[in-house]
Amino acid sequence: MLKYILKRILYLIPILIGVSIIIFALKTFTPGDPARQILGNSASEEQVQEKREELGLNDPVPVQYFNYVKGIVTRLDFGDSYRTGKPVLSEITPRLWTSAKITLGAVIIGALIGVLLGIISALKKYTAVDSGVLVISMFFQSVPEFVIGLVLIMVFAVNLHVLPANGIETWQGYIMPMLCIGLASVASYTRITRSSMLEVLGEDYIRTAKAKGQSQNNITFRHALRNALIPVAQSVGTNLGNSIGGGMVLETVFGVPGVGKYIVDAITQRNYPSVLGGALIIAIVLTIINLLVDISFVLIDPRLKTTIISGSGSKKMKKVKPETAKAA
Amino acid sequence: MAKMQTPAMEKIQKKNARRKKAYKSTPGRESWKRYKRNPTAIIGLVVVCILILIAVFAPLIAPFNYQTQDYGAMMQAPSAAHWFGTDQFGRDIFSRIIYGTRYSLVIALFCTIAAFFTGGLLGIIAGYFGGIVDTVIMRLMDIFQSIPMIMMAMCIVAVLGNGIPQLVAAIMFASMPTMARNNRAAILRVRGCDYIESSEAIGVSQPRMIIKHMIPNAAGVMIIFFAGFLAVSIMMMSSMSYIGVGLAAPTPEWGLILNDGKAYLTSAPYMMLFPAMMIMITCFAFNLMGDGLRDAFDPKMK
Repeated sequence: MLKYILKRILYLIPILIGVSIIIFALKTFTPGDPARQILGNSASEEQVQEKREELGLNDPVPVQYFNYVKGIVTRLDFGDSYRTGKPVLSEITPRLWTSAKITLGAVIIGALIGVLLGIISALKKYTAVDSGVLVISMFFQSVPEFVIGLVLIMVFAVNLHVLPANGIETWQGYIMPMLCIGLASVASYTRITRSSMLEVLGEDYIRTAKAKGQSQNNITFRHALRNALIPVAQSVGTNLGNSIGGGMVLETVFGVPGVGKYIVDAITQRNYPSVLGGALIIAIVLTIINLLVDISFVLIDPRLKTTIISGSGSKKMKKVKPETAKAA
Repeated sequence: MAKMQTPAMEKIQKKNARRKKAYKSTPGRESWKRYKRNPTAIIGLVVVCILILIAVFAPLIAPFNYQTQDYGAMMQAPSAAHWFGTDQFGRDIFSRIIYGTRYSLVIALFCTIAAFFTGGLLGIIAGYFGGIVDTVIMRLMDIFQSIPMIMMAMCIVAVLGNGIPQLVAAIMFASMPTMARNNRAAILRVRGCDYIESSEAIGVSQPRMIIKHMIPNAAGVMIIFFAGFLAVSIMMMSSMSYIGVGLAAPTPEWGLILNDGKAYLTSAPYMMLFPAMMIMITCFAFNLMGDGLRDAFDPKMK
């Protein structure tokens, strides 16, 4: 088990290096001279050259990359914002918490609705209810979150005046953003729950339970659902990335001071260090969360543990994974 | 025991032979038969066809030019002259939406084709060759995937600037890993089949194997993902344009039209209502079609 965790942590390193290379490559493509940006238009050419030397912009590219990574690892230096001059990390940390709250709420809403619809759909398979549920959940998946957000604003904020259209000063402000992001992921949970429920309901032990005279509710919730939920829980990690992406747009729509709005604002202000630094921080946080999700599911599901600990099991694990991802 | 052959039996056999000729069962025909059975998929297909017609005949349908500004008719509510009303510059919103169909569909098509020829091709190569090639390509895609899709696209647009080629490049890079993963899975499923093994045994060359045997057999699954990606591209494009990191201002892209109406949400909600509905209808139609295609080409996958 420990070996598996260590392996996964080691596997994190090349990914983080790769992400940092992508961000660094984008950084070298940014238009304009960073030294000029910091000093302003009034600075003389010599001052700019001096600043360039100080920032290490005249060094060869590999040296620049090395210094960039060194800065991140040793000093947690993700760059300084052009606008405020403060480190990007200290500006983003409080916003991460806001975004995390919304994403967490969205995942809970999406998973609850999705699993419920998936159970209904599986129990009423091949009926009008089944296809109705699938079409409705697909509607929310196929329409961009921000359009749903705008419709919700029109209805609940402009016409009914029950929820605030902007900001999260009160708890009501959280409702609409969470709902929008959550609804977008409902379809994926519904599908996975439906197919895994259908599979589990065909198992022998369900037939045995029926033969013993168990009630339908007891079979559905105590016998079938418990096992059917495993692939659903595993898909949370995949959906998390989508939810964070959807959140980035919706934070701008609802005026939520989160990470997404920070990056979007920085893009419109041409504040490149904030954009790229923010992106790198989000990518790192997301990678670590995904790792924790993966490890925790191995801890929860004892069957996965045995496949991993037995020597050839790790290969099996890898083969199983893409298939579950495909089903999503 | 010798088989008896009566004139009546010969007649029946002839009849059967004729019937077989009249209806030739090809994979395409079988798929279409399955597709036809799905009413929601047909609705999706019809809407998509209408959208394509709108895009092609936009100049004939739109009553006004999409960028003509009429200061005598600013911020007008929907009327007989301006079906969807006018915006703050007096531009006819109906005409802008009609032209927007052209932009959205064409850009989405370019994005998807670009993603297919980069990510998709990498996926095919990874799936076919396997081993170290597969590992290298897929680990590379893992790296790309660890940055959320829309954030990746936004960063690229931020660096390259607003514009159609930049947007296409951004969406292409962002969707590369998913495209690679899907195509790899499609090829891997074909790769395990017996007929591939037998053609390998009789010494079919590698390019011929990929082009003649594997791609045609994996094409069904690839078409499903292709249709799905059109919808994803439209979604990403309009989302990015809406928050101001997509296309630049005068383009009649739906997300941008929505962005124009943002300031007038309370006073003129119609400015946002119609483009929002258009995005909803388009994305939903493409997904319905994609879902139908999945059932048609790959009945086992559902």
